[in-house]
Amino acid sequence: MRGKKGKFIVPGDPVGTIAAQSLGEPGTQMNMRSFHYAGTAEAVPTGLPRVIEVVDARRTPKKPMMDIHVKERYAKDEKKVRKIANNLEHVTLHKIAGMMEDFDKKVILIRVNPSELKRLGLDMRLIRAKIVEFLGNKAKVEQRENKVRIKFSKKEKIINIRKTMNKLKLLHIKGIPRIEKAMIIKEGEKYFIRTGGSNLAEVIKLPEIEVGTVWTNDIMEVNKVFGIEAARNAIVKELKIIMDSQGLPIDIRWLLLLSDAMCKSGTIQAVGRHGLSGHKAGILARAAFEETMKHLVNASIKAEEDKLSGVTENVIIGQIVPIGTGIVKLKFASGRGTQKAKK
Amino acid sequence: MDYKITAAGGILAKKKDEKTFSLEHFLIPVHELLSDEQKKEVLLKFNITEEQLPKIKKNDPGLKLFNIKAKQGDVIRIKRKDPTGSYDYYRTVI
Repeated sequence: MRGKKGKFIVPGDPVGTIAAQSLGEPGTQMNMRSFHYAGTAEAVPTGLPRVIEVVDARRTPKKPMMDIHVKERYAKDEKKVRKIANNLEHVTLHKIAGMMEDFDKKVILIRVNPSELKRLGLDMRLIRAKIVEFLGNKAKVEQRENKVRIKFSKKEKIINIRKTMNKLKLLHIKGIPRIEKAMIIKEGEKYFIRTGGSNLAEVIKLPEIEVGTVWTNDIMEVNKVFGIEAARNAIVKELKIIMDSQGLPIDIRWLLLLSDAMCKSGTIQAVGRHGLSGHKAGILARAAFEETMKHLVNASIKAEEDKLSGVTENVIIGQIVPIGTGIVKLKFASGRGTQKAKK
Repeated sequence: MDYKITAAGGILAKKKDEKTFSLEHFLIPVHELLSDEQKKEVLLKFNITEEQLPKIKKNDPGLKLFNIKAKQGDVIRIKRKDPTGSYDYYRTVI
């Protein structure tokens, strides 16, 4: 690496160790339990808990969320943005309706909340159609104003009614699955949408939104939809945001190095015994970290060989570690040397 | 979803109803498939074998976005734009 004063990093510098220290020390200063309440009623973890989440490569974050910017021509129109946000929100039947089952009469009663209907701009006919489509010919559906009555045959088993009820509760009415909330936030003159819950694959298909700037904090989902390189960029961005929010100045190169290491195998590996440290090349390096016996026994069963090329291995056996000047090796050019000596 | 690359380098994704829309995302860098000669050049430059490069999965969505049909052992060039500068990164397909 070259800077104004020459080379900052020279061959043999233990950059991994320096990166770990540079990230670990600010980590001690971070808030143990901090959240931000950006427009949502939910608390999204930031600070140390969030760093751990990212670095451990959790399957889903504790509170997934997305920032969605709408196309330039809609951005200043609050009503339009609100309408787009409403269309995002995942609405299931039990969210807009009271539901009751009557086992004696073999009937499920659904009373849809009229104010919710109005807010979401829904029509009872649509809801009726959805229910009919879901039930098929299992039961008869009667609808009067905002009430729906589902009549089963007298011989229907009670357990089947309960099962149908549970499935009906989660009947998809509108919106994108897994997006629980969508609210709009004003930024300068423009509005953007922030959602609780995340579903990148579906959101990028929407025509009204600016696809290029959609952001989600679910890194695994980025990996699934955009690929490993995008996931690596997402890790860098996420860690940088956290560090900045905590007021900890950290050189971005350490974050780049960490995320490159996490993504080098083609999938996102956690930093720890199930990820990076557990997949090191050297047996002794793995054994020195955690689960010593497991690694030693497995290596001996497979007759693995340790080339003693890493730092940890050489510390263990008491040789010079291959860092800095220790990385230089002397090679003896026998032929030429002896000839010169003869002369 | 099917994807197509436009002449401008942006990516088009086809929806089921055949409407296309562009998918240029700030997180996705440009991926390129290297020819055999380019691959040799790269490996010679770093003096390594292809197993020593970082990996990318054959079914990675990033490759699909750029319509790259890669087989095992191919090398992908990624044009990264980091805050520290632009550079090329290489991954072997596994």
